[in-house]
Amino acid sequence: MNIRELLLPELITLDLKARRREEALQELAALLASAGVVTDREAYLQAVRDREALGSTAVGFGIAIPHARSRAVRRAAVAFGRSVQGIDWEGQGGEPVRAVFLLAAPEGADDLHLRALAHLARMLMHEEVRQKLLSASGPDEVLEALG
Amino acid sequence: MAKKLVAVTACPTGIAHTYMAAEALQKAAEARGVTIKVETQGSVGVENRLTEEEIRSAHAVIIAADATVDKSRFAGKPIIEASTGEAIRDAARLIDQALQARAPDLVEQVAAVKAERKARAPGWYRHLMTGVSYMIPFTVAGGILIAISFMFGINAFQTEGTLPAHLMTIGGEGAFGFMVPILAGFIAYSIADRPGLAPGMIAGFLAAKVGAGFLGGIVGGFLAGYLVYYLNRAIQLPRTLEGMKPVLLLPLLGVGITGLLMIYVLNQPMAAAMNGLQNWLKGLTGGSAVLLGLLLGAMMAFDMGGPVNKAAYTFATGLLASQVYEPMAAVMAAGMTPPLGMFLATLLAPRKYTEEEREAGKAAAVLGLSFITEGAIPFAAADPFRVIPAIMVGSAVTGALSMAFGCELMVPHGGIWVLPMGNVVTHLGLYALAIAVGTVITALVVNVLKPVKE
Repeated sequence: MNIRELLLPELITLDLKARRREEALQELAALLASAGVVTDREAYLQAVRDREALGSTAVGFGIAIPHARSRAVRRAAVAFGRSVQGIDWEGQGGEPVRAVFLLAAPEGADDLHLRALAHLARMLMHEEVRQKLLSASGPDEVLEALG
Repeated sequence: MAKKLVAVTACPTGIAHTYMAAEALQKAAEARGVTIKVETQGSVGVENRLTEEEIRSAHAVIIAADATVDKSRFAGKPIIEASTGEAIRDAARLIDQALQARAPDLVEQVAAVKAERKARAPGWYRHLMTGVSYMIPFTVAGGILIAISFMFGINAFQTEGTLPAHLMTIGGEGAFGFMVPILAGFIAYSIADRPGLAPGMIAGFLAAKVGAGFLGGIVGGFLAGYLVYYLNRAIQLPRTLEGMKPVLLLPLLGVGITGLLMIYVLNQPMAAAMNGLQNWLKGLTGGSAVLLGLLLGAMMAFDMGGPVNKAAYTFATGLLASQVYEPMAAVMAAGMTPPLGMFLATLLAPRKYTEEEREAGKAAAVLGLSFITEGAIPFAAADPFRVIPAIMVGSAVTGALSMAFGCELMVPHGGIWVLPMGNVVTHLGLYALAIAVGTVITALVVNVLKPVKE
């Protein structure tokens, strides 16, 4: 399965307004909800918050990958948001997060989708991918960066 | 030859971090020119599963996980543990650590297995083992002091005011007298924390008084512990009176209820059970004594310090409080032969063992002499289907011989180091023979089963 089937252009924003984690999650969840990916936005967000509570999903390099599997998700998808001024992810003024991937997987997600998400996660570990993401000037270039 | 590494990554949801950590480790290893295989335990299940061969030939194991990963298949390997976050941010450092890691020596491996077992043990088992471990010092001190008293002559303690009489008072009335109360008290303490101690000790005291021995003590300890635990949760006082709970209500209700239940309900059946057990054990002769020895011996070796081993050990130690000493002798002897037998096996057939195993054999010898059965675990973990049957056979024979010879042991631990003291063990020569025979049998059986290493 191609990443383009998960990360649709309408799920990409290159100008996140959020300055804090909660706002960023809200903003991206709204994209997922309006695309019909998420049926119950609040239930899904709660699952994402629960995952954050287990340990921050900011993984360094200015990237965060909040994620959850939830009944409130209709199909697997990814929303991407880039922040120009940076987001204070853990509220402790650590390294600001500039790129956020919000992953959504339905409760009974099939392996195909989960593998695609896994593949995306692996891609982000590569410096050149991250550079392209941070310098992309439109949804097309974001998708291109991810192959 | 270039070093190879293996790794496992896992996280609770298994959607992202598992795979990012895996990728980061692979990249960092590549940069060092090191081969690595990473098993991911993620949402799609286990992928890239490590084979036994890969684990065996790996220099070290990296576990980058925020979830629990079973480490049993990595026994004997150096293990570097980290969170997925650490692996993602700083995989290079983990790779370097893994490359420099050295395999844990036998003593470290044994300690690691013990710690892991402790963490995994179910609650009731942990409570029982807490009680047993607090009881052991009383048993050791009592057993040895009584034995020293006997050195002045077996009836010397009957003359009042003499040193042997005082030693008997200290060891018999003092140390042995506290065994069952301490056992019960610390079972309850383990369950209910501090408020459990008093009711538990008193339950044990009451059990010992009517001859219900360690069986009564165990039942009393659990009764007291769970009773106080639930009382503590059930009783809710206004904040101003909260302070009265630990100093007045819990002690009063805990001790009162436990004590009355012991006296009216539990003491009689437990004393009857204990009496029956004692009479049966004392009446055991010939074939049935040998059978008990075989059983206890095999149990000691079966899981080397695990629950089955501890069941046999607790049984024998508890009986000391009721002056039944033969099972203790059988159990300690049988617990010594597994590591001793493995040591001898590495000497007799060095080509069937790796260099590390031969080295570990020397440490195992010392552990065996000290009655630390766990010393055989690294051998058993590496080759369970050959080693465990072999050590069970050896231990069973040793246990049976010890029972057949009628050996009695008054202390619950210490291995060979307590034996030279007169009267700690009866029939010392035959006892040593029983241990030696089991050691030789263990070594021969395991070497027959084991193939030569290529």
